[in-house]
Amino acid sequence: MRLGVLDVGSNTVHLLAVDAHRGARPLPAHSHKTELRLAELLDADGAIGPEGVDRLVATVAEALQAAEDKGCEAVLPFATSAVREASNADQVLARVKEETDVDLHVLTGDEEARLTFLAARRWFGWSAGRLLVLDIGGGSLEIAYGIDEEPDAVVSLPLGAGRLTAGWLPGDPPDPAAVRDLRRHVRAEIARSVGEFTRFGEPDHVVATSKTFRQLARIAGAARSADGLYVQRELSRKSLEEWVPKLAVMPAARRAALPGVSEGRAPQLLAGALVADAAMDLFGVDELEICPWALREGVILRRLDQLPMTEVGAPTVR
Amino acid sequence: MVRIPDAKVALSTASVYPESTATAFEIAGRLGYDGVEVMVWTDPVSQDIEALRRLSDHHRVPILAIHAPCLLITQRVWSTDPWTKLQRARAAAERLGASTVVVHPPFRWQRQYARDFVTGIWRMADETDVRFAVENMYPWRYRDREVLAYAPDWDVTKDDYRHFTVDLSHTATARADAMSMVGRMGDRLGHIHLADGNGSAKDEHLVPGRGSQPCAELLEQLAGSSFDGHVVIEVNTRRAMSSAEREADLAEALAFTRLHLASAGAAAPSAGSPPGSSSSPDSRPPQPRVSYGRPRLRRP
Repeated sequence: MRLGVLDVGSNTVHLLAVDAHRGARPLPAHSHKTELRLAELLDADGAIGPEGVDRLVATVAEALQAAEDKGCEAVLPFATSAVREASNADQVLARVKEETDVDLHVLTGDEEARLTFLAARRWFGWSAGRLLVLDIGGGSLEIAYGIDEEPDAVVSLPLGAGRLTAGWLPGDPPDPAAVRDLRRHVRAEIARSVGEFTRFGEPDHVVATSKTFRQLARIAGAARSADGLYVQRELSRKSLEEWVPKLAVMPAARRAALPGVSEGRAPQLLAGALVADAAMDLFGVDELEICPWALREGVILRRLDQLPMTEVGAPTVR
Repeated sequence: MVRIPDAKVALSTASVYPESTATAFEIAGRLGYDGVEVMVWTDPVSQDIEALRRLSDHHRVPILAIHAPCLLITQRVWSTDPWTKLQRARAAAERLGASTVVVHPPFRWQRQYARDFVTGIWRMADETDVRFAVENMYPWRYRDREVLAYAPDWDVTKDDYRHFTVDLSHTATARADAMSMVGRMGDRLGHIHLADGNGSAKDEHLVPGRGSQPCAELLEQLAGSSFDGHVVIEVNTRRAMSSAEREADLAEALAFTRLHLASAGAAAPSAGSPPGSSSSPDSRPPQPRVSYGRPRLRRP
C-alpha cells in the first residue's frame, strides 16, 4: 500500500509517500518538502503568531494535495517539538484541523526518540547489539539506547539546532563569547542525562540520524546523498572537533557553500555541530555511523506493525 | 486585627516550563511555596501518581491541586475520554491529598461532553470531597475573527457549577471584568489561578503585578473574607534566560501574593458577611500599593 507520512517538524514540513506493507522495507516513492522553520516563528512567549499559523495551514494543505496526487491511501500526520511546545499549541492544532481536516498527532519527545530508535534498529538489525541513537532536530535532541526494539532509556532535550541558533547565536557570524556560552550550556544539559545511559554499559554501535548529522558527516568527508542509502557514512569525533572552530568563524553564506549544506540549514549548522560534538564527547564516542532511517520511517514501521497480516497491498505478483 | 487567611499559596508545575514537573517541586520547596498544583500533561512524571508522591515527600512540598489534562495537546493523556480524565484526576487528588481538581469547560466540538458537562460535574462533585473547580476561559481571537472554542460558554459563570476557579490571565485575554466575574462566582469561588495580563489575544500569564489585572485587589478581598481555597501562581517563565531569572520571577510572584494576602491593619469585615463577598470599601483603611522595581500599569 502507499502511505503518506506528514512530518511537521521544526524546520520543514515533509510529506513522504512510501510504498510499504508489513514485513517489507518501506520504499520511498515521492518526497514533497517545504521549508517552514516553525522553530524560528515562535515568539518570546513561545507562541506561533498568526502569520506562522497561516503558513503552517497552507503548507499542510499543499502537502495533502501532493499526497493525493501521488495516490496515497492514507496519510499519517504528526508534529514534533515546535508545535508541541508552542504556548498556543491548542489553537494551532484547532486551526489546522478546521482548515485542512488534518488531526496532527503531536508526538512527545519520548515518542520521537522511541520511534527513531525503532527505525535505526530495523535498519541495522539485531547484529548491531546495544545501540545508541542520536538525533539532532530543529527543536530537540533525542538520545535512545537499548538492546531490543524498544529502547531501555530515552531522553529528549530542548537542544535542537534551530532553537539554539534562535536563542543563543544572533549575528552572522556569531560572537565568540556567545558561542562559548552556548557550548557550556549544551554540555551542561547533556551531561545531566548521560548517567541514565552509561549505567547500561558501553554501546556496541553508535548511530546518528537527522539532517544535521548527515550534513556534518558530509562536510567531514562522507559520501554524497546521491550515492544512495547503502553506502556507509561515518563521522569521527576528531574531524568534528576540527570543524567546530572553522564553522564558528564562517558567516552563513560561506557555510552554505560547503558540500551538502543547504542554504536553509546553513545558519543552524554551528549550533548543530556544537551539540553533536558535545554528545560524542560526553558519551565517549570516537566514531558514529549515519543511519538513513529516522522518525518518519519509525512512524511507518510502527503503523505497519499494527496492521493485520492480510492487509491489502501485500505483493501477489509471483 | 491581623487576619492570616487559610489560603495557601501554591506553584503550578506549568510555571517552570520548559523545566520539568520534578524541577517545579524543587523550586517550590526552595522558594517557600506552601505546595504545588500539578499540571497533568505530556511530561510522563506528571501523569504518574507514585512519581508525584515521591517528589512531594522528597521535597516536602504538598500537592494541593491537580489540573486535569484538558488541552488539545493532551487529548491522549489519561484516556481520550474526557470523563475518564476527570475520574483519574479525582483519584489522583484523593490519593495525593489534594483538595481541588481544576477543569476547563469542554471544547465546542466535544458535543456530547459539552451537553452533559454541567450535570456531569455536579454528579462527580457529589461523589467526593474533592472540589471540581471549573475555570473561566476566553474566546480565541485571531486577527479579526473570534472563535468560541468552549461550550457551553467560556464564561463559566453563565452556568451553575458547585465550585469555580478564577484565572486572571484568562480574564485579561477575554477582556472581561475580573472583579465582576469574581462577584458572580460569590461563595462558589473555590480556587485561584493568579497571573496577570494586558488584554493581548495571547494568554500571557504574566507575573502578578506586571499587567493590568486586579491581582492585588482580589488577594486583599480574599484575605478579608476568610477564603479557604488555594491561590496558585500560574505564570509563563519561558522568556527567562536562565534558571536564576526564572526563580527570581517565581519568588517575586510569591512575595506579591503573600504581601497582598496579609491584610495587616485591616479592620475585620462586618459580622455576617458570607465568605467571598466583597467587603465594603469603607470598612477598610487604604492599603499601600507596593511595586517590585517594575512599573505597574495604571488602569484608566
